[in-house]
Amino acid sequence: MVKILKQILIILILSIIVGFVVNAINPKGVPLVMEIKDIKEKSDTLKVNFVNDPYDTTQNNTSLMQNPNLNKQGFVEPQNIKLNLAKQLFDRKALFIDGRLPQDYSTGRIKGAINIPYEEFHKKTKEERAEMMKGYNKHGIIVCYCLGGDCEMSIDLAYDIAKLGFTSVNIYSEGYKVWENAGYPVEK
Amino acid sequence: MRDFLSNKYLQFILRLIIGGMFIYVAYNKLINPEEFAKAIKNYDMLPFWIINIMAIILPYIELFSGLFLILGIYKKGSSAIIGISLVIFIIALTIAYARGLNIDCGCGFSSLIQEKASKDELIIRIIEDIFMLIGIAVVYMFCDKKGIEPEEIKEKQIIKGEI
Repeated sequence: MVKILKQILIILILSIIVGFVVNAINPKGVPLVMEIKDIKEKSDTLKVNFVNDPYDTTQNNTSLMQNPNLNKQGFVEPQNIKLNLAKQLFDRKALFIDGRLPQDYSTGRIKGAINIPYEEFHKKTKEERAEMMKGYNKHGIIVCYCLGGDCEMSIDLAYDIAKLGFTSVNIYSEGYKVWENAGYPVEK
Repeated sequence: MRDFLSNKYLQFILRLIIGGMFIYVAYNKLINPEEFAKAIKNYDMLPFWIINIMAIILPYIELFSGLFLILGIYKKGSSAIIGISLVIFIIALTIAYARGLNIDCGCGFSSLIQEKASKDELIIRIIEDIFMLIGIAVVYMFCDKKGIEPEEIKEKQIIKGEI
């Protein structure tokens, strides 16, 4: 038993030494403590004034290839946003997409939000999804949300939409509950 | 059964497969430590100050354990580390599955698919890790044991009075 513990200890010490040394000389190395910017959400104030038109499809054919924000899989990663920023985007006419089931959507939603139930959307082929989204501006601001709490549909839906080439997809994960409690516009 | 499990060819194949997989997943993490740190963060189980330290050390633990396992150096120690890692992976994946997290965990062959893991993919990862755990348990328990030698059989037969 002591022999095995000794072997484990040697492997662990070797890994710690090599890990820190390589990380120190590796240009891609990470800082010892994760920088705050990595764990914070997107900034919660808008620096640019704009009015969003989610239905302006005139620039939908613009190539994405030059987009610096493209990830390895060739789409722009959705961003997490909090209530404050969601409200600012709402005021600038961002397209809000409710990822819940139609029966939940009909009992209460963010004012003006459209309903794309994630379960149904995810089952469709990429072509069918693209067809469903063809009337919307690929470069317009989109905010996906669901109920909030443990609800993950907004995240999955946002990724599915971003993969279609939409460049400004946001995830408002606090969801409808927090929005309604804040007294922001809803419709039923 | 003991004969079969301690067979040197079976032992070598198991060490090669499991060690190879650990080296491969370690390599994926080593080429992009920042991505791996984010993957750890996605588990939402560790305080943020320890995330990068884990991202720096863990891939090397996997790399050296895998390498040593294949080379036959410190077989017991490396297989114990791999076994413990697999148990931790299985627990973390099961919690992630239960909580419905979308994670890119980098803890199995399926992590070659760089998509976010869906619930089905999490199940596949859990199953593949369970298989690896069984394999590494066989390596750990039988790597030092030899099969029954002909002399041993003869001795047993003598004891039983068959010869």
